[in-house]
Amino acid sequence: MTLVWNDLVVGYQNRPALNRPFSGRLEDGGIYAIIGPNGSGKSTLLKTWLGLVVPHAGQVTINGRLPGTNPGVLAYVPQTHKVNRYFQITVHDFVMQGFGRHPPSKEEAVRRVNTALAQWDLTSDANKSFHLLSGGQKTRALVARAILANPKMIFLDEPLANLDICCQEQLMDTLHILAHRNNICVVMVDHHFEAYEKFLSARFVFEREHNEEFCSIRYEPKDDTCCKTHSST
Amino acid sequence: MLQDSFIDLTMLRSFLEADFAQMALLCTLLVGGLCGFLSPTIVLKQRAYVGDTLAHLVFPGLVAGYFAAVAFDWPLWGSLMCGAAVTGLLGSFLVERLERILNLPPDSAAVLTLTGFFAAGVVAVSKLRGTRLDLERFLFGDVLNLGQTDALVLAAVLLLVVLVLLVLRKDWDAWLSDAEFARLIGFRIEFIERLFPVLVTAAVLTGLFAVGGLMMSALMTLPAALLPPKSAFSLRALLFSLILSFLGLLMAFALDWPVGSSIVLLGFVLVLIKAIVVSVKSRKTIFQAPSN
Repeated sequence: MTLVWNDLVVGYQNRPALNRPFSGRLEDGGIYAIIGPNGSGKSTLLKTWLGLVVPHAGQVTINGRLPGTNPGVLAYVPQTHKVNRYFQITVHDFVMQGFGRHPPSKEEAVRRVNTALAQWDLTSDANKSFHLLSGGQKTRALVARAILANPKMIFLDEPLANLDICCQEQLMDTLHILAHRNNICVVMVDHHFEAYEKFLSARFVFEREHNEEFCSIRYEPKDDTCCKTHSST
Repeated sequence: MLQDSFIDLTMLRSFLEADFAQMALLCTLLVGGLCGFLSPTIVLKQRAYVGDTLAHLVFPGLVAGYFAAVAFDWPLWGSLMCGAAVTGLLGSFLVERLERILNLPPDSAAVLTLTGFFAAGVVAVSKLRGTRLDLERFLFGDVLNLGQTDALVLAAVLLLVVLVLLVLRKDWDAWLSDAEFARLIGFRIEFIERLFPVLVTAAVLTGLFAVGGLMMSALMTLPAALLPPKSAFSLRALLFSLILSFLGLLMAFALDWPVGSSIVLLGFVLVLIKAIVVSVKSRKTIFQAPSN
């Protein structure tokens, strides 16, 4: 899978642009972190790559196609408050949504959902409402839903914030295995990667000088092995 | 006392044997079914105000339809429905555009548009003297004056809602729980987002002459508000809506009250009872909590 963006400027409709134009591509399996101060546009960049937000300028393609036209290829772990809090959907049914419109046979689907629930220690909560889970449990259910259908690229928006240390390590271990064994691109927005630098392949850093209106996005590869990915400002 | 109740029941039975009462019962149950099917989606998507909004949005369309029928000698029923459909859909579109372009909260965009449309209807009525338009009928409906055409239209809209909800149930559920993820993973979200206002408009329009626009708004909210659903289709919300409609109709016949208002009042009393029960239960839980 190849994610390519050219002269990309992100921002919501009818709101100011957030960054200087930048270009780049991601194609190798690895964990890529997006870091920067609050309000700099990290989540907006993530959603623009996913095709959920229309960019102010520039283009994004995934395997040569617009991002919204790749069902089943991309997975997304939003922040927990994005899930409709009035909907008392069970954890089991919530995770099942990860298969999209074309799930495997019913037995196979249920077996894989049960395996995912067990992997993320949610088996005893399967029939509970999603909203009765704690913040950390919700994040685990969101991750289980995202990786259920073996996506080729995974985008996560602040997944570490609600997790305790043990679950953070489990999440990073799982993402590391997916990234390197299955050659999947994992893109994560978060504030605290200090303990997990060893897992990262590269970082996108949002920076803003005091008097500057827009952020610059700097690409920082961890080492030369990741240099197939690049960005320019 | 017992004898009085017996007389009342006998009167009720003979009343229900009348043709118009049977038609009223059929139409009320169709409206109940329609609201029971749509209620989970409307409540879970936090669009309870949509019914109320539509009830006002259709008003200028009804006025225009009425005068078009008088001026061009068109059939009144069809003319009213066409006028109401045009302003209902136009208003719904405008609410959505105002929300996006001006970045307004959805309820603010709805209130601005509904009051604007309603005001236009009021101005039109005030300028056209010598004609009488029964506004109360559109706001509160009159289930006792419904005919076969009304029942057929209600049944057709109900069938459409049932088909769309059951066939695309997974898509509705995904849209209701997390629309962005659902869009990304390939659920038919754009189709559903376009279909939703059309279904609600059709439901409100067809219920307009039965129980009135405002009552439709309440009936579409009550079932899922009282029985929180786990899916876009909820059997218990549907059954509740049917039973509520039936009991409301009986109450209206027995007490000589307007039908729509009777159903809504009955539902509102149930909401209050649930609120009291939940509040008492939660207090008990607090007091019984073990202290370490």
